Amino acid sequence: MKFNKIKGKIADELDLPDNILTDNSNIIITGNRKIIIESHDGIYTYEKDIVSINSKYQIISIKGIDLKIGEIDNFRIIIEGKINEIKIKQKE
Amino acid sequence: MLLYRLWNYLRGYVIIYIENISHEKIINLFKRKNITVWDVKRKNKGIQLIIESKSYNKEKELIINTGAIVIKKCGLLFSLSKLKRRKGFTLGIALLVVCVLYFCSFIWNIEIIGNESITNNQIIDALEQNNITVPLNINKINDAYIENILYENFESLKFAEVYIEGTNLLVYLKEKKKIDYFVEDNYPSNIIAKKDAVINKIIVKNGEKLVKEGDVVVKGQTLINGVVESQTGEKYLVHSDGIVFGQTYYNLILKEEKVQNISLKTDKKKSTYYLCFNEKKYKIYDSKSKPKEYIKESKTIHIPVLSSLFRICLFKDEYYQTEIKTVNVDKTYIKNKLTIKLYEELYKYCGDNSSILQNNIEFCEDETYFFLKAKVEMLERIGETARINDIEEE
Repeated sequence: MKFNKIKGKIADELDLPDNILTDNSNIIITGNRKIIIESHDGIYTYEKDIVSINSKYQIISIKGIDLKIGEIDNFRIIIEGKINEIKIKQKE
Repeated sequence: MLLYRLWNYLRGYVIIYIENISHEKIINLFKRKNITVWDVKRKNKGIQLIIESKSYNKEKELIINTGAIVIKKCGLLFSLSKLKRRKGFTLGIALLVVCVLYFCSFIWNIEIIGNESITNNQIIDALEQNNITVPLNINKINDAYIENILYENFESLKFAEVYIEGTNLLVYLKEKKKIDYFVEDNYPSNIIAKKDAVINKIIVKNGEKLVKEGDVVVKGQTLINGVVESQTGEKYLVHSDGIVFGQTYYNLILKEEKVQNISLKTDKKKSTYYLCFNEKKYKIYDSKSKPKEYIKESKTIHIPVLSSLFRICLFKDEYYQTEIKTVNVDKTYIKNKLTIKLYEELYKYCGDNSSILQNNIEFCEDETYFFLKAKVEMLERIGETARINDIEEE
């Protein structure tokens, strides 16, 4: 965890994208319709109104209406639907 | 997105339904096995998702073990695999494709463009004599050979080009135009005056000028001489050429009666009907007695639908009876009529290359007639070529 923080600082100093050096997830939000999460560890929960995604250090919870998984592969996951809330919880 | 879907359709995909309490675990399992999954939806107690056909075939056993039910197999690959069962249909399509390709390899029509004096039949006959007839295999067509045939058969061709457009053979032609060459008259001649006039302008192209502007000439007087004297004093003959404009004067008196008999159309009429079919007339109805004095009027009656489909129409001839009435003619009408008559008379005397320089038109009347008295000054060409037969006479 500490090592990840150091890598994050180096990336900031060198003006490099954070997700290249660290294991942090990259989250791209398009309006309230689409979320792309890169470098994830799989799905934690999947219901119509909530999707929780597991990453190395956090659990990303997305709340909304009629949520569906647009695409999922080893690297990224695309969540589509009407998104109301995004919550990122640090793993203990 | 559209391209993505098209790509998926081409590769083929399987829609499956999984009813399991821990469906998240199944999705994660697919992820670990490198199976790309998309369009994951929550349905009833389970989930519906799409897997590409390649992954499905590879991990079929694993997928079925998860309790997945295949709902639909989509895509081009699956559609083609269905054709394996319908052998007759597949064979029919294959046969159709072969037939289309085979028939497309022939020329079925020869289209000729640009011919004027040479008819289409003449060209087709010439080609047929050289074994170029439809249907003709496209591979066997030699453009240059066909063009040579056309040049050999038709001397009036200026340009011929042959090219293939689909299953048509286009023959583009250009014919030589016959040029009417100007034939110069070389016989010795004078230019003489064809009427009495005052010379306005004289342009000599060949010959010796005998008159100048302002001279008064009489009919038959030589204006340009065809006998030219050289510097050594020797005389020789030339063909005189030149333009001579002269001012001519016309005094015309035209008259019209004040009271005239005019035939007028009455309401009494007789009609004749014809049926027109294919540009031929067939009489349907004819009134027995036609009036002795009549004005004829013709009308074409188009029948809806029939006329446009079969070129059938009715033709009606109406014969109106006329009666002769004695009428006092209007003065303005006569004035206009006489003026038109005057210009017609002048045109008759002077021809095309003439113009009015001055005119003095007077309109008068007596007890029975209207008169138009005109004094007109015209500018016209007065030169006329006269052949010189014998120099001795000159």
